[in-house]
Amino acid sequence: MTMNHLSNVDIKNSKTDLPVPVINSVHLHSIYNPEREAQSFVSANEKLIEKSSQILVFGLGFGYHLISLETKLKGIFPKGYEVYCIEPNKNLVEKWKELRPATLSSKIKVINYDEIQDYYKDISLVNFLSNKPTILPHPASFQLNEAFFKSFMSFHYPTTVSQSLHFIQDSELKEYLAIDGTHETTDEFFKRIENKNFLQGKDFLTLALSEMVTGN
Amino acid sequence: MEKILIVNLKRLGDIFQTAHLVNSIKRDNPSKKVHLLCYEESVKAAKIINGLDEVHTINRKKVVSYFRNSIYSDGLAFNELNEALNKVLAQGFDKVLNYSNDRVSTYLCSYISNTLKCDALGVRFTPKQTVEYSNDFALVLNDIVTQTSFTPYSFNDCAHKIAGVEIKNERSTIIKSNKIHDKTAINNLDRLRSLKSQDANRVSIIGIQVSSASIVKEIPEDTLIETIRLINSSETMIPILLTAPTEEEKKKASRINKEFENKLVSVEADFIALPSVLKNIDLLLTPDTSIKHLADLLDTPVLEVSLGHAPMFKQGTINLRSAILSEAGHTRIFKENGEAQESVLRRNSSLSPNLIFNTINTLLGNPEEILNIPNQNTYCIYRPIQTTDGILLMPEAGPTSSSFECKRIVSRLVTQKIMTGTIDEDLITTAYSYITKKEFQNTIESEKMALSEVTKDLLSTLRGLIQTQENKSKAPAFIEALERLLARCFDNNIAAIPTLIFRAKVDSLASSSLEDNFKEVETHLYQLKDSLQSCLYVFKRIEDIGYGIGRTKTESSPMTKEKTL
Repeated sequence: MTMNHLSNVDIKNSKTDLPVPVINSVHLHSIYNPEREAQSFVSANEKLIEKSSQILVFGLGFGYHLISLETKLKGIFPKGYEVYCIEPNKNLVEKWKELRPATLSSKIKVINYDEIQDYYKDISLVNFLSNKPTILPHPASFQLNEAFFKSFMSFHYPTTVSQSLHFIQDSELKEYLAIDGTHETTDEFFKRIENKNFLQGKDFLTLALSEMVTGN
Repeated sequence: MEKILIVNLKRLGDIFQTAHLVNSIKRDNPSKKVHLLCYEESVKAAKIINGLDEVHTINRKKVVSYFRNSIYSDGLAFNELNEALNKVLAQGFDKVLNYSNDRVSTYLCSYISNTLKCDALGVRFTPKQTVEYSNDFALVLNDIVTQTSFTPYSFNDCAHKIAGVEIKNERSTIIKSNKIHDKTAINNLDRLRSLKSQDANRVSIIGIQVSSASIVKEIPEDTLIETIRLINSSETMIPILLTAPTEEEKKKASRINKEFENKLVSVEADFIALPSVLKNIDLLLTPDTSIKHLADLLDTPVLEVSLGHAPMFKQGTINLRSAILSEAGHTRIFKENGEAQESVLRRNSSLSPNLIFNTINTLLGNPEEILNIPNQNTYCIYRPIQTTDGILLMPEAGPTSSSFECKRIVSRLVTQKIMTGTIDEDLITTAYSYITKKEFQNTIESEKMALSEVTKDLLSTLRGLIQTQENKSKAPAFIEALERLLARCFDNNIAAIPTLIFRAKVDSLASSSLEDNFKEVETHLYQLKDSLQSCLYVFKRIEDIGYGIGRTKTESSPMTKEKTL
């Protein structure tokens, strides 16, 4: 985690009298007219936005771009859309909650965790990511937190079986995976099951999964 | 009320094929509940099959993406698969049938049948990871159909025999169709017929599937355009282009249509609307596609152009009013073998539009419109015939190999004899109307020689086994003889069939040490000896029946009809 993730947030008022967060001297929105800037941001990304009703936004700022985005999405996808916004700076999120300069609908979720791994432990976010959403970086936020977002995109989740247990809903499967296999990587676990002299229960499920993910 | 789960993890065409089995099970006993487990990506095909009480899915793409994408925990893949299967297990089943017969489906059937303590049909893995067969036809499907080029039985026939149900050919209600789409299709196609001729009843509509999943299976575009030109210029035929709602297919159809100044009718239909169109055309011209299976289910005749590695003997059209156009069976390679795509495409380009057009005319009963075919034609016409125990593709015309075609028929008879103890003698009589007595005699003579070589290897293995049981130091000689015998599985002759059965049984022995299994190996060796005797019995019956038929009839077999192409 870089210093930016806890950086102090200063607030300035735009010419249109809207609060604009400033972090390390970087203004996250236009100091003149944040709303018009947000509309331009959405227009500039129109083709990208039209591709999917699911959008992952990098950077919250004070959410003006999210409001414009939502207005656009309502028009293109009247049946429904979903937006997740990742914001690494906890102070910014809290300041935004406190001031609420932009009210977002429940279809836009703002997510903030301490560690990158925590984002990938959030099952609803992971389900959302697995649908390959369109990624839309908010330029000022991305510039400010570039290292974080790059790490977010290139993250490698630990491959040990013990780290997998968090995601297992079924207690029987959890128990099966927890028995003496927890320090192995998944590949090692697959190999060990494949080499067992006597398969039983979930071993068959394990080998089905192994075939499914490694086969053509 | 019996509840059966069919596990089929293959693609759309294979899912459609499952519909034949579902139909047969339901017609046998309508109160049986039939569920299907398939991949999410194939569910659109499953959804239009009548008779399926429920369809369960595994989101394979999600499971694989969770596993292969390093940002996600592997636990997500585990969880996704486990949750999908928990829903299946919650249903409770009396039987689970491994239809797709791949490794994933085999592990899943083992898991489901063990967890529910229910019967497993087809193959499954035992706790010791050997293969367990529910009956002899599970072995035929797993070890013979997939290994030999003869293909004694099609996948569909094997699936029925594994499930223990008779094939029901009444197919009027297997596929769901939408009544509004039906009415629209009838009206539009009738209008097309009326525009072509005052006598609309004389006009046939030929649906043309423009694409296949693989470029090497596709009818070359130039050939297709020329064929459409011939169809279009006929007084009694109208070509219509059929496309799935995908950009790629739409582009191809539009490219083809430009050649006809955009005057061709092009129908874009998904699986909900397509049955209404297919039901109301007179013939479908298609490469190997899922649509071919759908047309079979709707009883619409098909001219299947089988190119590339399309598995026509395993999964070709089964409608008796259909035909398959293919290079001669003995020259076909049904598995991707690394042959360069350009080379396959070059071979495909030799397919003559006149031949396709002639075959369409033959199927429609219009012999007056037959055109000339180039002398160097390498393509043959195969047609399905109904035998007592399934469909068999027979060579109707073209430069096919009598030896290969004889072997295909003999392979069916030998498999029958080994698996059921009897043979379909009517098939021998039928075969003599396709293949001359001389051609049969030549093949059987060479097969007898091959059989005698296998018999020598068998006897030497048996001798080695007996000597090893008396003196362990003789084991290497026994192993060597056994390996020589097992190598016969790869021979391109009928004796490979009993040897493959033997190999499958030896591979299924429970112990990992051969010594522990001497007794069982000995039993299987004696069974192999009986199977080789069965081959001889079949050869003899073919000779006897041929002798009874006499010369006059056999000399005019379709195998000599190349000129009629």
